[in-house]
Amino acid sequence: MGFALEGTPGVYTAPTKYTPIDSESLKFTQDTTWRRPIRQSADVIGAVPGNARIEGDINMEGLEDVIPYFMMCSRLNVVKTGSTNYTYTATPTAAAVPTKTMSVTVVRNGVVFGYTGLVVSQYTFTIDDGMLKYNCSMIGQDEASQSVPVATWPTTVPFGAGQYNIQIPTASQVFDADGFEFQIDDNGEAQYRLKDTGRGAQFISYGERSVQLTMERDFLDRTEYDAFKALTSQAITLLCSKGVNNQVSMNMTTAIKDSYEVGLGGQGDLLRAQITYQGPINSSGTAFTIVVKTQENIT
Amino acid sequence: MAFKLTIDMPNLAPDGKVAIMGLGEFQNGKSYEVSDELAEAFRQAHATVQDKRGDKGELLGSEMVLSPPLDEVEMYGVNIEKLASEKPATPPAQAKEGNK
Repeated sequence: MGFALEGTPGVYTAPTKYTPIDSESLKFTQDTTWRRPIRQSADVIGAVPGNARIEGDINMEGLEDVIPYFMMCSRLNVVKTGSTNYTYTATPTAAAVPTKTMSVTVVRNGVVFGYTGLVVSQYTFTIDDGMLKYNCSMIGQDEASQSVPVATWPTTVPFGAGQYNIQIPTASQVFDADGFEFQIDDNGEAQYRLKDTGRGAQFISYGERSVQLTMERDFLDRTEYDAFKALTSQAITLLCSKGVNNQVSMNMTTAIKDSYEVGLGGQGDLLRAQITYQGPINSSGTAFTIVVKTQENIT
Repeated sequence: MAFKLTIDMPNLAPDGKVAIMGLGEFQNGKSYEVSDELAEAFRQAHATVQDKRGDKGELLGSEMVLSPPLDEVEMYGVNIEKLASEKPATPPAQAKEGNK
């Protein structure tokens, strides 16, 4: 799979970056109207073209040179600093539309699908068997065949076990947590307008945002449970680091436990707490930040 | 007919590397000489299976179609030029790093 940020939203841009993926399910979806007027027939008598959009998921390794591209097509304000070693700091916004869109090129059995106007509607960071994964749900405008690209694959190594520092609260590292899943859902929706330049969505809008974190922690005492009952907020940070210049960190500024489950599963089971956090905003109006340090120079 | 391959990716770190299926791994900002054998391996690696049709368009089966020659494909950030035929070919095992 290859992708590129678009200069003009919805106008195909050939890939400038490639990344290996675990899976993808991008598809062209059209709301066809199947004609069923009353006309001495019990059958569909025809089809009328309806609005169309692109939707689907992309599941991939959480690579620090790839994630910033997708952050730029999310409902985030991404600030780039540094030279040679770059830091991309993303903070959520309340904007109705993303500032950038991307073209994604997928080759399936040698056949090229060029998806345009794609934005990230929902994204999840997980740690799966020690590896950081990044999954995103995309919504886009249209699709067309394109010429076959030749991929140049990055050689970036994913984050693995032993490269994580989870801090609860932020700045206090803990060693009793796993099952990390950090999900942001901006509730993207394709917007259609009357036009004569194709059936694809005119743009993608965002709705309410939800920020959620789930994890498991060893259950030792009532401290966290009582904090759950008291709706105590705390900042939580996960730092994934391969070195000072190659990092991905996620910080929930004001995490409040939404559920805290410590059931007795069975004889011999290690007692662990299943915790779900919601992410309200802090006093600055920020629910979370994502910081990526990489050598990738996105202009 | 060997090829000269130059990696020039502005988004990649100066010493960043990329891998190209059938050719190997290359460092940004450097030039490499690619032998005929390796260029052919590239075409094999990027070959696709396509329908084989007769004169009247009837389906006869499928066939493996090689990718276009190395100097006819487009790769973002990779400049490819054909070298003069008298240039000695490099060993097929791997591309050789040269002067930019």
